[in-house]
Amino acid sequence: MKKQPVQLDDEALEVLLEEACGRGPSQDLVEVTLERFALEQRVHPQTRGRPGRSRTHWHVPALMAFGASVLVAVWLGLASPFAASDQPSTPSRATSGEPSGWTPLQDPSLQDPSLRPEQLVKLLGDEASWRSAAVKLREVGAPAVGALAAAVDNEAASLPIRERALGVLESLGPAGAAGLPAITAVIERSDRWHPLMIGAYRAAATLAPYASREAGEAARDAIVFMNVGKPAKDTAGKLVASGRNGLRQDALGKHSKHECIRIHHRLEIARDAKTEVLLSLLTDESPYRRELAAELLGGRSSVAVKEALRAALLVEHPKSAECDYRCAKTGHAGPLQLLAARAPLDSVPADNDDRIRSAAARSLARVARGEPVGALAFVHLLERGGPRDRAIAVSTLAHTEIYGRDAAAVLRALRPVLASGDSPLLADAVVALGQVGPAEEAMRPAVEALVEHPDPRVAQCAASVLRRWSLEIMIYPVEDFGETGLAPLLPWMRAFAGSARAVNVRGPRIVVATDEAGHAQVRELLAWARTNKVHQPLELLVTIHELSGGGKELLALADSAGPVLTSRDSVTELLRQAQAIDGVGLVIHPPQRGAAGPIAPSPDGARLSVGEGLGVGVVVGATKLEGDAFVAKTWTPESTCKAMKVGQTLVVQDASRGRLLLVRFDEVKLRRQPFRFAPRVVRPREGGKDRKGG
Amino acid sequence: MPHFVPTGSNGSDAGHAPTWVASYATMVWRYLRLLGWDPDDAEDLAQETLLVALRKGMEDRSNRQIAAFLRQTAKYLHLQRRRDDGRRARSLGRARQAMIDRLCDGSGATDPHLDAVRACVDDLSPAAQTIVRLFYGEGRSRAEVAGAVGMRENGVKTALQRIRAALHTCIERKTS
Repeated sequence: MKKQPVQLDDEALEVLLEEACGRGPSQDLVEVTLERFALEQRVHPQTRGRPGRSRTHWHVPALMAFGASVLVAVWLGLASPFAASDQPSTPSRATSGEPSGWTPLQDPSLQDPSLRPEQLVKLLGDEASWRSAAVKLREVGAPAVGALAAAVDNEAASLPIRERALGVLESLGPAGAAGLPAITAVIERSDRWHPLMIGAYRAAATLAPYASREAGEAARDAIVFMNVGKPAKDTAGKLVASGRNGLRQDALGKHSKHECIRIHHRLEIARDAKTEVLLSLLTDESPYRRELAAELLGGRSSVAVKEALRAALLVEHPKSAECDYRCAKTGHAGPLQLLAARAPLDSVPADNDDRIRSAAARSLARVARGEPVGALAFVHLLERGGPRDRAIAVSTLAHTEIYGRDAAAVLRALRPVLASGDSPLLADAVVALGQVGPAEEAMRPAVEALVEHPDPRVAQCAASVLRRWSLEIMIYPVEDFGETGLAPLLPWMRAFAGSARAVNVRGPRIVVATDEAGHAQVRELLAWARTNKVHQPLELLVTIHELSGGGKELLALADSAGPVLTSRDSVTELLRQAQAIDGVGLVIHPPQRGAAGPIAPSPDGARLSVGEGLGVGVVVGATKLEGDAFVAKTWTPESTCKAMKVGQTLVVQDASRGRLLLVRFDEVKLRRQPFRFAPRVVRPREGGKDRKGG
Repeated sequence: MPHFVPTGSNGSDAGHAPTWVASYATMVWRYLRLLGWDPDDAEDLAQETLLVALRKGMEDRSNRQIAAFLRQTAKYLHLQRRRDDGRRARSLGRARQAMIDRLCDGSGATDPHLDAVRACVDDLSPAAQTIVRLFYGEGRSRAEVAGAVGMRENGVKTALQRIRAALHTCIERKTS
């Protein structure tokens, strides 16, 4: 039996179109899935054949849409605001033996794309090239998790390889969550004084929030049993056991205490926590809970989440945390003992405020890119990120409509960009300034100087912004228009206002940018808008001259003539010039009647009715007659509305067919509405009896 | 890149990664895209779906059964994720659900509708192909496309509407 064809809707067609244009699933979907399955089988073989929750892997491109370089910088130890592990004294870096401030070695031999993660992991044991291998593994991302986890869990491997693999795994963040079971296995099996233990604790705490609930709980249980089940015989352990709250903080450095509390708090919260819970944690007393909540909210995109993340960028966060009763008694104090006894950490407190802001900015930028509410996130990115982040931030701000509430912050962030003269960023920075609106006087000289910039794009943008700043922005609320009623009027209002005035519509408000001399014209515009809020189609009598052939010369001729010819003489002159072009043919269509005009209002104002009876393909939209003036628009999408009078000629360039149409409006009048019979009303007879019953 | 070899008693071939995963991955991803997920989330959920199927073991099932199982699992995970995110799942009409199921009833390797879309895009004028490539292929905004092709933003919008209408007609003709 032959199958009926499927009727695609627009949404399905767009999905197929994207796929057909090469935006299908990423190449490593199958590979990563099989890696995850293999790892799962190796760590928990009993999951085979048993339905249940699986750990969730955050896809790398989604996470690193605008932060790949930031994450690499984290691992390299370069300054970056977008990582929890970029503090100056992170134990993972301290334990993996990295000197601070080292830079990656660009080893050409490691740039071979055919290098497998297993080969790169082996190179982690080579003192000469382990740094380059680590960077390369970091770039590989999720597909390398299997090999890294296997190295961490391999007791036969050398300690440097295991330590460094653990460090890379931790730096992968959400992408490395699939490696958590291997880390948990290390904690379960090893002695508490094992050299890997501190790094394992930290990595488990970093990755647990991104793993499934089961994997997170397994990691937490492993840490608890490690500390409760194995007696502490060292000095720090005795202090812990004899302390009033089970935790003698005074015996330890400030940083050690904070690391311990951070590990504890990160293990408390699961990735699938409800949004309401995460929102409440965003204002928790503990900065570590705030930080984690900000990280996890990057996967939620409700309005409340965006506003909460924006608020988190503005408020001041607590700088320190206290280990509460639960923290002290659940056995999570164990890392504290280890940190105190084994790792000689300095006592510099972590800058929690900056970490929380960075996490909030990263999440907000992910969920509110291009939206006004997300502007502050990109300001943070611009001020604290690397070169690539700055480029992304400026480009995004240039395409974001910025509310007044964030304008000052955006200006503050853009000022150094303008001063730096960083040419690739300048044009976008200037456009972003235009989005902010009239800037403070201090910005004006810098933009004026850019008008002479050798890059024409920068110069053009600067001139445009200056022109815009010279205008006054006036906003007129129009209560009696609904949003859908006002939007269709926009093209007509623009035509009425003329090209010198910038008119826009935002909801039920008309926004006009004008200079002082234009106030009277704006008043006329508003009056015009009110009287024309109900569109009425017009009846037209038009005469059309069709010029064809001639190609580009004909179109150039039309450009020189302008969109509207006001007199018959100018039409004659245009025809005479066209006659001189080789191959141009002229067809004069007889006068024809038709009707045209905006039909039911559409929110974007782009829909115009198809004219009736205009046989040569010209369709003219029109609005209400104003004396002998009216507004017309051709069917070509790129054409704009033109204010015209009866007797004038509209020049229509039909580039797709290589022709030029001269449409002269000989007569224009309001279209009479067709007479309709009122529906017949049948009333019941008095007394409730019908004819038959009577 | 050598994979860890899944071993188990539920039908997988020891020493070989399941071959059906590569055949159905695109189909599952497309199914989730049609359910309304963006590409990255769809990929995330596709991984979960395939993992569930891998745990179950699909080797003793026919192609049709595998496709049906994957669709059902993907739909379940879709609803679950929506619920976890505190969002209501968008209710699909019966006709739309049937359309999505029809579009994803094969292995996805050779899909007639996708082939038809490709052929119809090739039939478009060069200008239209450029707009399609920029908007759908490179994911640029309408404003960016307008800047690239020298049109106004509204012009691009109208052009896209016309292109979609033309493609609808063309696809219907090619698949009937």
